[in-house]
Amino acid sequence: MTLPNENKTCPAWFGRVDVWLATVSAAVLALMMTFVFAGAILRYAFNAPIPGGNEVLEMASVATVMLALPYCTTQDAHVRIDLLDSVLGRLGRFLTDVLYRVIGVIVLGFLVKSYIARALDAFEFNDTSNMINIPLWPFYGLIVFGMGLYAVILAAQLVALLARLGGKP
Amino acid sequence: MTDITIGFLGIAGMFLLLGLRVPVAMAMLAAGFFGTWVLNGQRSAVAVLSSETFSAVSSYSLIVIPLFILMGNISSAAGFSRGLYELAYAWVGRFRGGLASASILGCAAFSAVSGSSVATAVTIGRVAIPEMKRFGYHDRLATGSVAAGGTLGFLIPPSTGFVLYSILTEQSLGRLFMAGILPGILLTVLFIGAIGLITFLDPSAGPRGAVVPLRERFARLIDAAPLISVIMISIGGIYAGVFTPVEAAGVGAFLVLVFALIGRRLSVSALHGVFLETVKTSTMLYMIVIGAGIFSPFLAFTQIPQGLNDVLAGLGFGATGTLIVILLAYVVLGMFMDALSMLVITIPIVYPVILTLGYDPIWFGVIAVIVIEMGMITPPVGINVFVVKGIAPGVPMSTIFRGVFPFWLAMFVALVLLIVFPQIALFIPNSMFG
Repeated sequence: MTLPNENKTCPAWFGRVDVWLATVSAAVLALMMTFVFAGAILRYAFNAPIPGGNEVLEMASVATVMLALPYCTTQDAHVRIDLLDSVLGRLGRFLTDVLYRVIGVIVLGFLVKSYIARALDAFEFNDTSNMINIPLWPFYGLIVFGMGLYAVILAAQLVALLARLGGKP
Repeated sequence: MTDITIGFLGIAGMFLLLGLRVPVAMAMLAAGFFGTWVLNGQRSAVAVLSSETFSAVSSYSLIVIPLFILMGNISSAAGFSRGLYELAYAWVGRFRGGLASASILGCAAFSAVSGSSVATAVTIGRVAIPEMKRFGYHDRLATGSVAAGGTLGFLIPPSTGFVLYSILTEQSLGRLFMAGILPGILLTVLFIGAIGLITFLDPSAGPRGAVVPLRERFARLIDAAPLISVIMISIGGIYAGVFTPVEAAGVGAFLVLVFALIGRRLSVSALHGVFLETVKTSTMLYMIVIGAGIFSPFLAFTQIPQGLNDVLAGLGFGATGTLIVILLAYVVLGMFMDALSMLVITIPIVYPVILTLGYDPIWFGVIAVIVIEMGMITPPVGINVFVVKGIAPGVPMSTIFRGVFPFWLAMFVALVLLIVFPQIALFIPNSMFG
């Protein structure tokens, strides 16, 4: 019996979507860095702070994190404690890999569901940020997108793990 | 079942998930979510899950995480950090144990642009360990100094430890950064003192390095000037009250990038890799913050922190005795858990107790970070030791652990000094912020 243990597996159909999304996330981060630098210079050198600059950064931060989340997952960058790795053995590791994905899909499922409702509400009632009225629904949508893809990757890895159970080594 | 029982089951469940290799963020998220569900129902659990997620990823103060990580990653990829080590080498390498001292100084300087102990150990270790081997340093001293020096990355601002502590306790990040400066310097001095003692007892452990002419020493100072100036501007900017921590991070990252591009030190593909690495690491940290953000309210619902407070008060150890019990618990946990996990899991439980005992929360932040740093070099799970093993694969793990022991003792001395003289941590923030 083959017991696959593949934390770094990316579903084949996913291609390099995770890298592209992370590249967009990186571009947003570069813009944030430039924005913070420009904001600091404008504020101290020209006494002209950017109105609502903090809100722009807060929303950009949502994009940076959510767009990089699939890449973080496919690269298995989430910190875990592997102290018991040798004790668990291959079967134990396989079971814990399955457990992580099952729990992840369930919890993320609740999260995504709640954010779909939140995004629809925000769209319907035109919810915006406090200072410069940035619409909130696209950012709730980004959470649906990022967390949703995280859940999809975990689900695909779970299917791959179970499908390969009993397959060739 | 009482709320406290549910709380303990939740904590036990989380530790079980951690032991079963579930990522820290997901273990906290799941324990917090299902625990709240059992306590207050599904509606409340989903509400906490939803609100805490957005509040974490849209937090203004958390923006320091990706920006400071970016600053450190660019410095490392552009080779600026090597310049820091070479500068330290030029000035102290000629002394007995000087190359190990240069490693500590290089780590301390690089820590001022990087908040990660692992990044610090890797960056300086790659340059320093081969050099120490070349001069016949004992493996124990060579690897031990780098593994211990790397831990400074978690203490000297900008420190990831302080960022997370600030988020978990709602304390001022600026104050915490400033509180880390003197203890960081103290620890650096104690590490160098430990090297002096080791080489005094056994001069063959760390022979003298080459004497670098004065002209070349100043030339290396000029080479390292771009990164030193960025450190002065960003961290000095916080100290002078010119920048907020977020601004300091943004300005620092921007300037390092500009210096790297002007000096043609980064190719487009290297820059792409640096940014990808940055968003990956930052997202990992954000997920941990989300997990902690959902686990903390669950703990508050169960009233475990208050219960723990009552239990510790009932032991009759007094404030200092209770603090020692807590620190001993940290040392034990440090043997099994990595720094970030330990911080986010323990602070929500321990912090209310510390406040009740009347300790300064900023001071405790420094104490917690140092004792967690000790865990980074404590067997069997000393992350920095594993990192150094990766750089020096020929050196047995047991040798590295023996090598870090004198530095672990130096950290213990620093901890005692900080408990006896809290002003070491509080002098700068109190003189700045009142």
